[in-house]
Amino acid sequence: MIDPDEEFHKQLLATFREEADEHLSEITGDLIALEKSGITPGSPLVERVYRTIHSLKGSARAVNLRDIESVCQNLESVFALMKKGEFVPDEGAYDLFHDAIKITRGLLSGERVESISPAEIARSLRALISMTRDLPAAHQDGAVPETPPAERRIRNGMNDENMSAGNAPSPRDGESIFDTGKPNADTGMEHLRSMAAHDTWDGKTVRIAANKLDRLIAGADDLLTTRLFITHRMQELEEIMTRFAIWRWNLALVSNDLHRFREASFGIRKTKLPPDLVLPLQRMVEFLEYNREFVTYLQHDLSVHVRAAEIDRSTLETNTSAISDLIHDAVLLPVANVLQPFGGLVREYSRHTGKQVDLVIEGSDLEMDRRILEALKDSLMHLLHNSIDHGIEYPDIRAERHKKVRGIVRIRIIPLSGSKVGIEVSDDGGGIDRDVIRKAAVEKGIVSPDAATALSDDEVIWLIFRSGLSTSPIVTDISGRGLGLAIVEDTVTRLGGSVSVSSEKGKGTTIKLQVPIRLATLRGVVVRAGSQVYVLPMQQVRQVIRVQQEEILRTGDRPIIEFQGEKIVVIRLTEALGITEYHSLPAGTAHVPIVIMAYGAGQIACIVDEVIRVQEIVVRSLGSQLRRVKRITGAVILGDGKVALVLDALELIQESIKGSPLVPAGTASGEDLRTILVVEDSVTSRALLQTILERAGYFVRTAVDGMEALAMLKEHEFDMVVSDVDMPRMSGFTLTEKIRADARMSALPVVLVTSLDSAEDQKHGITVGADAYIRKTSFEKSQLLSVIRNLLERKR
Amino acid sequence: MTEGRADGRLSEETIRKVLEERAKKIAEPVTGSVETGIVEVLRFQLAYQEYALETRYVKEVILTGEITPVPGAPPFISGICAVRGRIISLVDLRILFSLPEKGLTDLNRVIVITDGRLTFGILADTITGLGTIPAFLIVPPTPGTDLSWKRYLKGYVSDSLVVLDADSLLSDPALVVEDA
Repeated sequence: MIDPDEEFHKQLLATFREEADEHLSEITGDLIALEKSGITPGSPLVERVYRTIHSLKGSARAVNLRDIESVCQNLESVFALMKKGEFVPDEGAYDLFHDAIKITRGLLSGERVESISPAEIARSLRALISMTRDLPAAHQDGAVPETPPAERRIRNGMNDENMSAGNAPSPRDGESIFDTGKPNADTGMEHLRSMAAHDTWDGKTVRIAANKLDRLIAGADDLLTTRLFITHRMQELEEIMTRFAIWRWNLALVSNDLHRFREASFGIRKTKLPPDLVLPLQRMVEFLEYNREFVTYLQHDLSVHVRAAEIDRSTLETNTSAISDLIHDAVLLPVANVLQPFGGLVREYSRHTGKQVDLVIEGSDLEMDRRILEALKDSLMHLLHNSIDHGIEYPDIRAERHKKVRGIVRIRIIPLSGSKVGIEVSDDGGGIDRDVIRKAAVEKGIVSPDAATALSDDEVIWLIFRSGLSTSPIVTDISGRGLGLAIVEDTVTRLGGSVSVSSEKGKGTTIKLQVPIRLATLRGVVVRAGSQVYVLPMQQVRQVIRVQQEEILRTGDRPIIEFQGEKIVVIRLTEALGITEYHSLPAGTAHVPIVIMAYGAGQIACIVDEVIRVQEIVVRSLGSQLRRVKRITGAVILGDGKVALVLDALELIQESIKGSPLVPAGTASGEDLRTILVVEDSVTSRALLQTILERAGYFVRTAVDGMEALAMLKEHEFDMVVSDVDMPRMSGFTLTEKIRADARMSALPVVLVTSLDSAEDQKHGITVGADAYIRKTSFEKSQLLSVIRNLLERKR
Repeated sequence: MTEGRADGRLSEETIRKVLEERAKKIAEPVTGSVETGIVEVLRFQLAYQEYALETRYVKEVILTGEITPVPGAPPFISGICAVRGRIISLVDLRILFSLPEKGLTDLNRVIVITDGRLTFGILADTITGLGTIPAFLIVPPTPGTDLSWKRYLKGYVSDSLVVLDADSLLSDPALVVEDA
């Protein structure tokens, strides 16, 4: 059993970690600014750092993290001196401060920072203080001169030096209730209150757990799905309404007859009728009239309700959109939140490499989706590392090149049109040497020497991404921009963005990321390929086109099309997914629908059977068992309740480009492709029969029962029917009878596949006119196929 | 069809009741009688053979709806379907167990099993009932048996009922698909 106190403490710790993380980032940012600007008396920065440290110390004490408290205590003392101008830190001191922050971070995450211990840091900080004490105007150390207002609310029965300093805040009425109870919980509650108070600093904000926000987003997404369902229902209702037109037409046809009946039986033209028929006839006619009225009113009422429902639906649509947008807005955070710790990182990393680098951040107050920022964090970190490692030159080289000794790495956040943001990471370093890349690419066999010289400088730059795609570390060796960059590109593309590089030798390199501001509701192109419906994420769909069969050039290894001057490999979507048992209908239409997908530098043109629509999609995971399936991102529940797979554009492109040249599209020639109608109410049996027959080279259509089958038979040509017997609405026996009774179809072969085992049933089957009767209990693929082959032969 | 649906719901409810009762029982202190063991099972028919699964792993039984095949997944995965807005994968035991392909059955039911971590559906033709089996009646497969799916097998009851080991199904990493 978990101790509730312990549980509570755990919660507190989690909250503290989050809060502390923010504090630490803030302190790091301020420290760097301080070092750059130098300390002026009464500097607001010093004041701010001091307060932040103080808050952190209080919080750490509340959750009983003594190590952190002690480090903060000492840091605070140093800053107290700085505030009074009694201590001016040098570079070494700043290093110490950053180390202290690093150690605190380590303590927070439970990882030990190896080289230094918290005790050492505390000692070194104290040493700083005692140094100043030797100065004439030395001040008493340790004593905290004043309590920053933000911390006033932290108080409890534990030894708080605020109190001992005689600075105990006056208890407020509402808080006295916290003075009793367990000390642990007590401090906790107090602390939570203080954190809440702390967070009201810039107007009205509340802290909300990230997972709650995520759940809210998921909920809003579910709403969108429901809305989609309702839209679909409405369409169905509208269709039902149109059926009344047929009814009206039929009614109009008989209305004249009806009239004549009325006249003849009991109207003015009354003829002699057998008296026992007059009354029934009259009742019939009256009933028909009643019927007409009834249906007319029904139609009217229905249409009123449909219209009302449509209005409700559109209101719902507006509202759900508003909610969804709002919630997605709620997760927008200033980019600064993520960039803040980078200052410390750059400072430390550049010192570590022996280079002098300043990080300049511009436009970081722009707001972006928290999830995008989280996803980009590592990539940005990587780019910064790259710039320092491979961009910025060592101070002596920079001096030789008449550059400022301190290099600059700049992150610029630029709002772009279309809810996009540009993030530029640039350095004023040496730039990328194309010739080195050319050489390496040739050495690694990525391109031939001739091709390498033929490549323009811009094209060469793209090689650094290519290396990632082919997972060859060609450029990693020379600039380190190889695999890492490919990962950056992957991340950015997954977010629906793009990456570009520009570099000038000797002047520096700029990498531009373009990403959406928010993870907007995804849109997808719904397509049908074979018997299944798939969704292609809109972000990676470059274009949907229709081409003539002859526009697909089949001269080379693989079929290609030319689109906007580019040659793009053509592949059937089913083949790209590894589905082979599929035959298209004989090419009735000359136009082939093609979806061009682009992902980074790679692209393919996918042949599909039908482009159904573009719609909003809410991507769900494939469940706990299918953690990752190649080429598939997830699943979507469509408006009609069916589940469609969402395809992964990148993997689709990679796999199809990697794959061997495929058989040209349209494997089965139109002439000998036989069409079979499979009628079966069980989903699995239907799918199984379909697969067996498709693999055997037949074109298969399916119906769920006799009724549907009959409707399809009347509309389309089939070469054979394979039907179950026991089905709702219309059994296989009845279906067979109806087929035999229809002059046009009477010769159509019918195979009954059934679980009815008795000889009687079999006899029944033959009586109604089935050509073959296969029992499910002894069902075998080969048997079914040979029966079908024979029957089709005979038909010929 | 409608009757079938009612059927499915009924058994779902029954299962829940059984589960609740079982939970109560588990909460009681362990006594000797419990240790001698009675196994509560859900019995189902698949490809003309009756199987049993321990009910404590059974979350619900639903009617098989439209199944979306997943290209690239191993053959024993029939596909996925949505259960109240959540996607679950469906396992065809006939393929997993490499049973000889014979006959055509309808797989009208999905038995959703879970251990809290992994959840998937098992396709079944019909649910034949809920019941208890005294543990001593379950005869483990003879050590020499050369059965590819022996690890998923608890044993047989009077030769006609195959008792499956849901725990080993749910904990077998080979059943989880995680492409590189």
